[in-house]
Amino acid sequence: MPASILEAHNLVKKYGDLVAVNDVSFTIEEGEIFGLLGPNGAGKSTTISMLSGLLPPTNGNAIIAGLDVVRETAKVKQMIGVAPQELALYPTLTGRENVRFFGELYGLRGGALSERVDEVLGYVGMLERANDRVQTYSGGMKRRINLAAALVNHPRLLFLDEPTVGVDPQSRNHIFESVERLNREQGVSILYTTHYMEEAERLCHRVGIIDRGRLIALDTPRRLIESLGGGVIQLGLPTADESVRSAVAALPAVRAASFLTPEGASLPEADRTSATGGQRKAILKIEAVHSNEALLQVLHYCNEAKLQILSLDLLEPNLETVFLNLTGKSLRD
Amino acid sequence: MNALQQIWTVMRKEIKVAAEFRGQWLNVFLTPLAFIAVMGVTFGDGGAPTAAVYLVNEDEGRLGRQIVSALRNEPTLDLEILPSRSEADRLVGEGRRMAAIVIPSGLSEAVLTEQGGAIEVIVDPARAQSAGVVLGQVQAATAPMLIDAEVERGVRTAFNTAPETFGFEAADLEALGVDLETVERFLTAAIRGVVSSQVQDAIDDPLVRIELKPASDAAPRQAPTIFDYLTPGYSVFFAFFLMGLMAEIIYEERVGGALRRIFTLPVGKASFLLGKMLPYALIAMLQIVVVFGVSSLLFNFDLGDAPLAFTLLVVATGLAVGGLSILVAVLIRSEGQANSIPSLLAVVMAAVSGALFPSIQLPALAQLTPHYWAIQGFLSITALGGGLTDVALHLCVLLAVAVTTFAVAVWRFQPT
Ligand SMILES: Nc1ncnc2c1ncn2[C@@H]1O[C@H](COP(=O)(O)OP(=O)(O)OP(=O)(O)O)[C@@H](O)[C@H]1O
Ligand SMILES: [Mg+2]
Repeated sequence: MPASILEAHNLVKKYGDLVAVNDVSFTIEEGEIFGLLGPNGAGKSTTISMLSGLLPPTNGNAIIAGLDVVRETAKVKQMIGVAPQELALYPTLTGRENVRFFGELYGLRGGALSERVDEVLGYVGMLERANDRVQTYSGGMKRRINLAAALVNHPRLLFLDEPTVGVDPQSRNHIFESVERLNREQGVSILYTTHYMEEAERLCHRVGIIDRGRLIALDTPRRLIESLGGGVIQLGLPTADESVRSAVAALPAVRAASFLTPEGASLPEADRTSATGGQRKAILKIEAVHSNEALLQVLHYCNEAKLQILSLDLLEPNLETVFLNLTGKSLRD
Repeated sequence: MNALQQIWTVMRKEIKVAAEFRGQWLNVFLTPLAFIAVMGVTFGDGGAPTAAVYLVNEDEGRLGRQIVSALRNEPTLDLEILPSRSEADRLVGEGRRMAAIVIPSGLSEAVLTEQGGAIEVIVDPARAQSAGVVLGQVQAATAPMLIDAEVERGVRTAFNTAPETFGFEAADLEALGVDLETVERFLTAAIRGVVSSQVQDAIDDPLVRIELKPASDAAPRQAPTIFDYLTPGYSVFFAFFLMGLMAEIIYEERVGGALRRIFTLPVGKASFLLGKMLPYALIAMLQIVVVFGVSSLLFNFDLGDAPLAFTLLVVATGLAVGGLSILVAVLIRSEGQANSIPSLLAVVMAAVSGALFPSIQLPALAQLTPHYWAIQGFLSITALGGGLTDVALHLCVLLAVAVTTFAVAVWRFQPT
């Protein structure tokens, strides 16, 4: 039996006509940090809600440590820790009172509770400010208490929903280090959602890319980036001309070429341009086999065809580019 | 066991969070007293207090029947007719009602004798003071008949012992061709006519009327006052303002994500909501006790003599306030709703129930509000001297409100 701490099978969540999560399946191995990367509204939080027993799935099921999340919710809940995307703290209580409150709800009492509360507060580096009210903390400090509260029950599986939103660089680093240490030293498995691709690249062993409720790619960050091949070039042109696209796609160093549309939606030809600095232009996305050669060939073609180049970008090979390549839009606007 | 600890944990958290809302506490504890003071001073003794008593009629004659019907027409008396003096004696002894009026057998005949007759009032020794009210009311109701009987007896006695009292010699009368009996009947009728009309005048004229008055410093407490209505009314009215606070806190927990986190923990909805509701129920109970206490000190109104019934009523009212409030709080979905619906509801319920002023209520709807049952319950204890049995129905209704509203709240509660 493979050591999966979590198996999600064909999860679906519908809100009326809106399909927030659409047939999502993945597994998280014991000791793995698994990233869910996706833009706003992709369905990351909804997926976590279903996996943590907060929301019943419309369809599909999930197994955590061999237990069905819906049927054995109480047992599952003892084993997981959740740091919600919202701060989920009481602003007028102190950091310590907040963590104690959640610890008590897990059934911790007396000395064991006090000890564990101090331990997790120390873990996130908040012991000194623990007796101040949460409302007096910076955004980063609040996030650290949010993380501490999710750790109080020694979870085997931790759900961190965008744990670095609204956080200064110092706290962000602290959170990264805490997450890495938890994983390395205590073997805690982690589901980490974010729309910052650098976070996913740095922390996650594997990343699932989710867009509009669907899981559209799943692999290690390295292999996802490698799938880009020779890189991606973005060429700004005055019009979205199909003959230009096919000519570029036929160039030897080019694997594929397509016009980007705002939001990646298929719009009428005339609208397939975006206004930039008052000037309308079409963006041709070119996947290269070799970026240098492709660049030369594209420039040569434009020169021959007397095409006006409005802009030219050679995109870094990273997860952001992977996402753009898969969806035709960026992770953040 | 774990659930109990979770409830306790949530209660402590809730109190800490709620303690920050200082303005709300002022509203809940001080505003009702201010209102009671203003209303009490403005309207004075405007209420319509009634005394709950038993009535036993052992007399077979006409006078007995007359007295019964006169007492029945007395609006300030709430009568329950009992068949025997011994039963009345027992029930009053148990504190069920504050007094029993007994019309002894042979009263109709006795009033015509020299010794006369007497209506008896059996009072609960523990409430002898309040029984003064009953005596006054009985006197007021029976005055015309008793005077009537008095006149008849007086005339008859005078004639039987010494007709010359009236200045007649038997011989004179015989000379005139009238017998003594005719004269007696004539005089009785005449005197009765004069006296009765005077009695009637006296009854119509407030100067002579036996009136029930609120206690002055010197005199013992005589009758319930408007404070008997206003104190429970405003107490419950303002206790319901806790509803807005509860709604606001739940709303913040919802948008702030606290509910999300709590329900990824092994916590049941019922435990959580019970932990949230109980502190407010306890605060409502405390508020009722404080408002009644201060009101009784400042406005000198009687808390009654049924501490157990009073305590149970406080508890049941607090739970009803808590249950209804948690239901409303759970159903509220936006900040706008949290700011408007609870206070609107509190005012409407109070207005409908008669909590604002005794004479203002919607009779058909009043009984749908917990206010009504709380007010009537407290009234039976403080104003009418009732005990546990008098408020049993009120207790049941209030507890039923608490249980059903809480159950619906648990059912409808959505943490996300
Ligand atoms: N309670 C709800 N009722 C209706 N629609 C909802 C509800 N919760 C979420 N949605 C919708 O489901 C979709 C997915 O939302 P979700 O919060 O899971 O996205 P997300 O990936 O976490 O986004 P973000 O990065 O902004 O947090 C969105 O379109 C959202 O509007
Ligand atoms: Mg989210």
